[in-house]
Amino acid sequence: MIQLRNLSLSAGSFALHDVSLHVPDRHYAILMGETGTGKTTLLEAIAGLSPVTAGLIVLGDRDITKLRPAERNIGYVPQDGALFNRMNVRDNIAFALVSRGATKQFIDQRVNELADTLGITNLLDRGVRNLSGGEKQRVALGRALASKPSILLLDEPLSALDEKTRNQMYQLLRQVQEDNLVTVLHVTHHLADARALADTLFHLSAEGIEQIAGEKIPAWIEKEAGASPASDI
Amino acid sequence: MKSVYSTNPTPRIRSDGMFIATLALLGGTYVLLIVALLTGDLVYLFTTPSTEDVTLTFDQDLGDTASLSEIRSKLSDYELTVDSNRELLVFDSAYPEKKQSDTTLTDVGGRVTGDGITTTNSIGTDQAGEVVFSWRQPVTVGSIDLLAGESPVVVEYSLDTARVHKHVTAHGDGSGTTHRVPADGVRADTVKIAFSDGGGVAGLRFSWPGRIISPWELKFPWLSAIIHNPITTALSKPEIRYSIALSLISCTATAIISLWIAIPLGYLLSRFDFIGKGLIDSVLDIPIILPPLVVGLSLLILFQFAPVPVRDAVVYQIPAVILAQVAVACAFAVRTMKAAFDQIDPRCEQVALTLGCGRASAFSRVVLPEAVPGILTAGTLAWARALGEFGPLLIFAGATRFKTEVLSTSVFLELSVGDLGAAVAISMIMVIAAVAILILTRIWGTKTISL
Repeated sequence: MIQLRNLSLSAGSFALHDVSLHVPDRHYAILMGETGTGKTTLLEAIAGLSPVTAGLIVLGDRDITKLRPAERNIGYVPQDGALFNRMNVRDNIAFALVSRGATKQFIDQRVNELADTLGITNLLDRGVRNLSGGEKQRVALGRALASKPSILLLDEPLSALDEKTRNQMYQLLRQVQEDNLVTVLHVTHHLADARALADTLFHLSAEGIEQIAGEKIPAWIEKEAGASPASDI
Repeated sequence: MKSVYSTNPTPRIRSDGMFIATLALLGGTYVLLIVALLTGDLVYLFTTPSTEDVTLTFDQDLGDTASLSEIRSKLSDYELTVDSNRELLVFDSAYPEKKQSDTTLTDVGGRVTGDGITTTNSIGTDQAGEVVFSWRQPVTVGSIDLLAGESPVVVEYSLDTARVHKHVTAHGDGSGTTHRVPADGVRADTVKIAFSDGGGVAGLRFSWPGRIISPWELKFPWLSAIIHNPITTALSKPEIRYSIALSLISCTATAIISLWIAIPLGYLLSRFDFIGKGLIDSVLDIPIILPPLVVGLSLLILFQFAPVPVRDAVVYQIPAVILAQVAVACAFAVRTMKAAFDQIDPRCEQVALTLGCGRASAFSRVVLPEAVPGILTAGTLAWARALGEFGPLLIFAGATRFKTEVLSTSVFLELSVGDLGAAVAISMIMVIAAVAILILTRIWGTKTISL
């Protein structure tokens, strides 16, 4: 469960006021909004990377507003992955486990398990620089999931992918969510992402945040698609 | 209305080739200049014959009472022998009648002057005869100082037994005066001086290659140039070897100290916002824009306030060399490191934070490995900067041989005594050292970049 209670935050000249949001346990929530409305900043605030000026962030039954990012146990996949270029795929995925001082045996087991799910077993010993966009996203997902977080935050994970890879990733994301029992908050500006994945949909705009309940999502998407022909669909 | 553009449908485009050629011309001039500078040095080094001008008298370090064998031994330093068809004698120049063959001469203390020559001893014969000087390898003879009798003296120069020059002096004005007989820079291996009623030679001036050339070198001049050139000559001098060692050590120390400061400072400036950041940024520019001499002077002044033991341990000592180098080089390293950290995506650290790292371990596990090429660049820059440091060193560390002499100081010292060849040779050693470091860093740098 992700709950934001009257959250206010500011990053540089940008500020968001009084945002409240509730993602039920093990839901796949999509957060949509125009460029510049603060989707990424909101995600960073939940991950603990952006300062919060007022309000509370509650994950499950924990108030994590004041916790350091390392203590929140959130899987965070930023835009374009931000993989560690100096490490190979295996070390990228194992990063969180090494931080937690896991045994080598445990790390190997978890990395192989994730690689298997994500279909990147054959990439494990490669460097990350020359991976394709889809492969990079898979590695970034694996890295975020390694320590078995209950929350997964995805910042436009599919924006750089082509249509075919994107469709594969939809399936993968769904499967990953079910396998790992995580609550997902996925930021995007693609309606197709919402159509394929959303259990719950949030629309962030200058006026505030609007929640579209599960059964109303298809209707809302059709309306949005009609209203803005420019958005990809 | 008809559009004005429709009459000229194709735009007029200048040739792209011309544009690129102009770019190449403007930029290429500088590249050519750099290449020409280095080539010029090399050509100078390897084509300018290394000659040493020798002024040989029979006094100097021999004292007033030189014996013939002492003189012969001195001449042998230049592979020069002297002989005569009469008995060869050493004169006390002021009293030619006091002569001796090979026993120690009793000094009477007289000196003879004339033509700007002062001599106490000369070598020659007391009757009509010839004195022959012969070198094993040809030299360029400058002049010969004669202690003349009353009759003219015939001086003959020859090379490979062929006479190349002949000079007959004017009538002498009796003993007690010396005459400088110019040889007009003639190249010879033998000088024959014929006295018709006795006389002596008080001195010789000539230039020779500065060392004894072995016969094989004439057969393999290129091999000889590789083994004997101004660079190897410079390397053979202990003071230059000391200066190279001190340069390498102090530059490496400077590079390490600079990185020690530049990595944390660069990271701080790149990632954090704090009050006074702009001020710190400006302060870091001061060593870059300040005239280097002022840096040295300021260091010297600063250490006037230090406790005496500290001051004595630093000023004009080796620590001063490193301190003066760090003062300037570090600013460049900080600038480079800040740029390097600026180029590393902060998102990587942020992700590391969410993956269970504190700031410190995110820095050491993620940022530092990514910054390796930047660290190498900053280190190289600081190293090269330190190698070229001169002004502050001269003021703050002095230029004492075997103490605070580094390569740039050596160049200055050699130039100040007029030895251009040695100065260029040391410059080339610096160029070689700098280029070697640059290449090493490039090779290592690219190797670590491509994972």
